[in-house]
Amino acid sequence: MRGLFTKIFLSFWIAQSLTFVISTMLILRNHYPSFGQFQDFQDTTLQNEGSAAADIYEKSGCAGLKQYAASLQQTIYLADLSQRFLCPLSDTLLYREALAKTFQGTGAVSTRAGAEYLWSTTVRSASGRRYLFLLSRPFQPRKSSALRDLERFASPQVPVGIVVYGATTFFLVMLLTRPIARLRAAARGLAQGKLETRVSKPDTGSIFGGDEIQGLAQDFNHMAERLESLVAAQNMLLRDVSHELRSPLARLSVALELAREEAPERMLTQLQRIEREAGRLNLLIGDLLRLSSMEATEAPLGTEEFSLNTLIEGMLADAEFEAQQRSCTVRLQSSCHCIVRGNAELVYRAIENVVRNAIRYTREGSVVEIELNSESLAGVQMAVVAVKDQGPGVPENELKNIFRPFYRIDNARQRNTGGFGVGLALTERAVRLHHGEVRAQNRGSEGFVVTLRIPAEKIEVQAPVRAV
Amino acid sequence: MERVLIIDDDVELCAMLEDYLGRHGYEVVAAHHGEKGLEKVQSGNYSIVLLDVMLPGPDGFEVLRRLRAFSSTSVLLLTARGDDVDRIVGLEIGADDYLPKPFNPRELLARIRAILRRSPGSPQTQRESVPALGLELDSAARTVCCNGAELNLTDVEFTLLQTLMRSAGEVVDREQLTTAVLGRKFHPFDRSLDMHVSRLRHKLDATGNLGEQVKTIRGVGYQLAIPTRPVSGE
Repeated sequence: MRGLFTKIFLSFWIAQSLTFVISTMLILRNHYPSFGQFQDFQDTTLQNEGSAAADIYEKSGCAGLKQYAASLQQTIYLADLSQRFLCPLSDTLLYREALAKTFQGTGAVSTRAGAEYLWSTTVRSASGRRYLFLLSRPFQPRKSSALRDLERFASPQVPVGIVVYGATTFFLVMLLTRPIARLRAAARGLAQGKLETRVSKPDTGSIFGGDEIQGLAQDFNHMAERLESLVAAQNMLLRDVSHELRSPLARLSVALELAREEAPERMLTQLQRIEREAGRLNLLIGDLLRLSSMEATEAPLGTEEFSLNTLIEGMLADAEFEAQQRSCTVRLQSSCHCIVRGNAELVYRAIENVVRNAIRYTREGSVVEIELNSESLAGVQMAVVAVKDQGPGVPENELKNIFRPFYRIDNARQRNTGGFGVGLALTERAVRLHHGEVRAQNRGSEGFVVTLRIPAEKIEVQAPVRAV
Repeated sequence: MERVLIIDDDVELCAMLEDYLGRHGYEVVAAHHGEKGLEKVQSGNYSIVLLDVMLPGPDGFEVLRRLRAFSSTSVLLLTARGDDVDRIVGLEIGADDYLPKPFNPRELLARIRAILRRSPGSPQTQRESVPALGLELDSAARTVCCNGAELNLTDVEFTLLQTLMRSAGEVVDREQLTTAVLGRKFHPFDRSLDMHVSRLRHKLDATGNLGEQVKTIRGVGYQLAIPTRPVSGE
């Protein structure tokens, strides 16, 4: 959200400030006397002063001119049309060029001569005689006028304006991006499976109530509600169906047993087969109900401390037995002693499902390896259980799907190797309830690995111990 | 003939179980409602009650709670498969064992036999005793006396105490106890045994202040400890 905030804020602020600066400059240009106007004004003044000087000179000579110059507080010179200075005050050689220019030209002329700046023009006295008038001022280099004007005219309001613009833009952008940030957080929550997530509503009575963004938030909430009810309905359906299946299945089992006791010898194989299938159905229903009850809870049941090592060692015998059916072996290798807090039974089932799966898919006669290690993830000590098999693995793009209930990669897989695909979903849910994560990876041609990471209460690192 | 009461609203299932258990020497009576079931427990003399958790009206837990208020008849709870809370709650309220439904009828039969633990043809009185604790046990009548006062034990508690008494002073591990008492394989997350031990302790305490003598050996099992000098304050 910082990105959007910064982008909108900066671009708005800069655009507004620029507009302000540019319009100030335009105003300055239009309302300030242009160069022409200024010159006209200067010309008139020069002409008036020149005529007055010529009159005074004709009336009272050099003394009068001097007096007049003193009254003007300026250095002025008067010359006749033959470009000869009348009553020269100082070295006037410098001014000859200016004088010549004035004589040739018609209007006022301004030139630079050394350290002085000269304005000169032809003037006519009251008696009708023509003179050349020259006014000199020490030269002051002026700064670039536009900038100076800006500095002079914009100095209080432009910075104040920019600051005010900054403040209002900040407020505006906050108004715009805050709800988006809330919306984003809610969307993220929803994506993480927290279907009860809703966008919090700001006080609707405020003047900003009912705008498009709030409309969006409301629509989002509607969407989330609908999603939640749909998922709940689906879970409920699954649970209800499983519940309802149990009564007929219970009757089926008893009826089957009654039939078995009376059945002739030749029917026993078939009856056994029916019994086996009923048993499978039974297990599946159990798994489904367990999964749906786990989906419904947020915290694992029970918070006992238990050792992962003992837990895994406890399942080795059964796993070994199962592996022997496929002439495989199971090996445990642990580099640490991990104590985990939570529901031992859930964790046991989670790991057992993965191990079973590995035994089911590993190559005939190969080894299933269980590794117990530890790692530190963002300051949290994690117990890492990796179950490696030497099976065919899973297509890379299906890796995430195998934790979905009933997901099957290969429809051609036989029932006796495929299971029903609830086991890994149970594993994933159980580990998630313990704030851990499960990941599946292919190991190239070597096989497949499922890694369970569970936050550990205590970890003691020890030398690798190999138990078979 | 042992009398079995089934409290389950599934009429057909009850009928089939009557047939099946009848073949194996049990007399089965069915009740399809919790209240009726409770009435039958009060009036009849049943060795064991098969109680379904999912009942219309008062559910299985409620029925069990009320049943335990007046009777120590053995109760096998038929819990919902997949619901792990059920069996924990059930054992806490006082079920002797549980069986997830749908079940295999052979498994049901095995559980009933394990709970009742009565060899059909051994009528002669067998007395076992641990004099140091003042415990005397009659395995035919399935009664236990503590310093002359009779303990009101369920079948499972009786078998548990019997097993512990037979190796008094020694540690009996959980696997062995589970097999002997509940007739099934020990499972690491099975709290049934611990529940029964805790209930037995309470009863021993109430009658003879002997609860402490049943010691928990962490990670191994249980032991009925024999004090060096007789326990006082009975």
